[in-house]
Amino acid sequence: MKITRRDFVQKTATGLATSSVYSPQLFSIVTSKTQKKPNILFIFTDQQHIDTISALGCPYLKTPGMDEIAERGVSFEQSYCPSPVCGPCRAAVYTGRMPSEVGVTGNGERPVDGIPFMGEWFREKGDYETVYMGKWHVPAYVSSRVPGFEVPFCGHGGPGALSDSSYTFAAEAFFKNYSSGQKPFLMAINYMQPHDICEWLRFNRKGKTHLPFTQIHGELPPLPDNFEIPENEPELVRLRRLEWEGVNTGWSDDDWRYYIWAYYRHVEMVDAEIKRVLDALNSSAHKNNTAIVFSSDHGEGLGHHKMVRKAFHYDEASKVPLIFSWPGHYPEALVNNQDLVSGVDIFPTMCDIAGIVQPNDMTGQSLGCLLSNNRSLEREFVTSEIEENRGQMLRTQRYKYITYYEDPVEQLFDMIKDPGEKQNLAEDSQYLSILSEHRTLFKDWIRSLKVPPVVKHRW
Amino acid sequence: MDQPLDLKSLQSLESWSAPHIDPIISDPQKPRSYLWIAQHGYQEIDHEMGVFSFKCIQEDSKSNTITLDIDLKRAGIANHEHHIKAKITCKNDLFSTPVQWYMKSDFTNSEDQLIPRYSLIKQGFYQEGYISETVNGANHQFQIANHWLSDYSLPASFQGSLVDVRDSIEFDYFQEFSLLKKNQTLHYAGKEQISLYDESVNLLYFQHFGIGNLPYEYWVTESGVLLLAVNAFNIWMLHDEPEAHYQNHINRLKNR
Repeated sequence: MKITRRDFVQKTATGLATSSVYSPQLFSIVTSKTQKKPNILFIFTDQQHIDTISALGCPYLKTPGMDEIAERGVSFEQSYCPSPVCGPCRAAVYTGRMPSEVGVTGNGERPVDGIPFMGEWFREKGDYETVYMGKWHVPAYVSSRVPGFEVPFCGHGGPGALSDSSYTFAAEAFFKNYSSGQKPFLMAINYMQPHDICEWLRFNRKGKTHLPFTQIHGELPPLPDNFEIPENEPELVRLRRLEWEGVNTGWSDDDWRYYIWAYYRHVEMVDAEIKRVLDALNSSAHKNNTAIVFSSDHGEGLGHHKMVRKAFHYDEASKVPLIFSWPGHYPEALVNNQDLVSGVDIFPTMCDIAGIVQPNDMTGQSLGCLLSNNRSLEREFVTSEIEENRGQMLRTQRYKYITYYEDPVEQLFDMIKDPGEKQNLAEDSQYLSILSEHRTLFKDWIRSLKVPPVVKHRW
Repeated sequence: MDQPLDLKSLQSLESWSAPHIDPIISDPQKPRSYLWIAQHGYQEIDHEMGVFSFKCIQEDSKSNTITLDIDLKRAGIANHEHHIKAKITCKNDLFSTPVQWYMKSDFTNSEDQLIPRYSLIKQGFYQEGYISETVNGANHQFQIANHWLSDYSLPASFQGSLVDVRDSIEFDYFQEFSLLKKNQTLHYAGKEQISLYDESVNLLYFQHFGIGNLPYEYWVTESGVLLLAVNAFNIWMLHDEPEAHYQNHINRLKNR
């Protein structure tokens, strides 16, 4: 088995750069036929910008927990969420289908009947013990009844600063109390953080005459390279920006930097919880037989394009961290910056890890072959959708195409030359054929879905 | 916050029933409770709620240690509850440094029954820069700065010598005796006046910065009683009737 540079490209100038690209483990992968099925720990944060892991190159925060996962697994850099909105994304991730297929395209919507959810599937097909902590949002923000899972505690949907710690306490206890001789477990911890930045914004939306806490002024991160608002944007994006009155009318550059600084602290808060979970797992009997999947439901504007929060298709909102770690099976400390992957791939990949059949007609694809056998994904693009399908995104290797229903303004970005999505090429005559090609790809993709969208694509 | 009056923006303070400080000063062992409210950014009411209570026991004025009895509850929907009980022995030094602790974390379900496999017992002690901890039978040891604080012992620390700090001090923060956050700073930021019991009260104002935290702000009476702690939209307020507020909150959640 060989991992080529085509598929796994080591991130340079990062914390991971010091670790070997080709882990010795790659060459001695052994799976005992008699070994019991692996446990799976799925850690899912809320609203985490992809570039918020110190080991993967972000210099403005410290994340020893996520660093540890990255160091023991494969991190995907071209990882997109199926929807940059909480409820639809979670419905998609937990079913392996696009939100419109599940019937959940906005927060608070109930999924259609008959589609198996992850917990139900693992219980029924894999005889897994399935436990769930934290946010749900399909449709209830939190629920004591998540399909197929036992829920010991879920808070009641307020900020993670209060409830996230409780989820960790529950996880720590479970690792210690659950015997390795029992059936395998799937534990899904759905932290609220760093979503608390939404609460922070509520209290800080008005610009300040002077920033509080002079001690931190020297620590404020710089504004992002793509801070300015691009010309010729779709109306929905413009409205989304204006939704938070004050932020874009009254904030100074320092207000923006203060918000970015605060966001990084929120990420550190959830990272501390993650580190605690990992420490508990590492000191338990489950350490060597537990695969870890780490991701987030959607990203965060973080000042790029002068955006906060989510629900738009720029990379800040639609890209998310995605890391798979499985001791002795997947490579360690590797960064894949080529393959386009999606949150809908998580469920089928977990099925692969567990060695159980996948539900029929899933939209997502297992990344198992890619992770363990160095085979490229047969995938030309990934998609994402928002707002009852008013907004659609299609990302190919080179370009990103975005369209909003009944909006004459389309967006096309060259993601190689312009990763910050500053220059909209959709009206550039030189790119007419590329634009047309992407429109066709999108239409064909909708037609190809084996399960037709419950919520019709309006485009 | 720039100053305490800005706390009006945190609507939860409108229901604040601050206890009179005098009985606490005259009887430091009197149990006291903080109502913990984490405000939800999308709604004006029904914020997430918890109660943190502690009793500070000093056997006699010559004793080198104090003992804290901690009782922390967090509410969840469907009558779920997370309950932590802890007993902490602290040195009678500047930080009221914890030297030994026992903590039990339990979850109860909607029938108010314990869910045993989510129960956890942590026992630990601190000695010469190291914390040794046993968690459900497994042992761990890790290094910590000589100066360290925990949120569970912080009110006792202020009631000890911490209230006399008039500069900045460095420390490690062992949040909930579970999350080690290194390289923190406590900064004395001056005196502030707030209106309390229809009179103007002087409070000492401290700020706490560090990795893994938004700034904490503490308002402490000159006699060392921690009255109010704020961390962005999270508030811990010393309260006369926290249990009643908490129980009302639980009852509302039951009906969801």
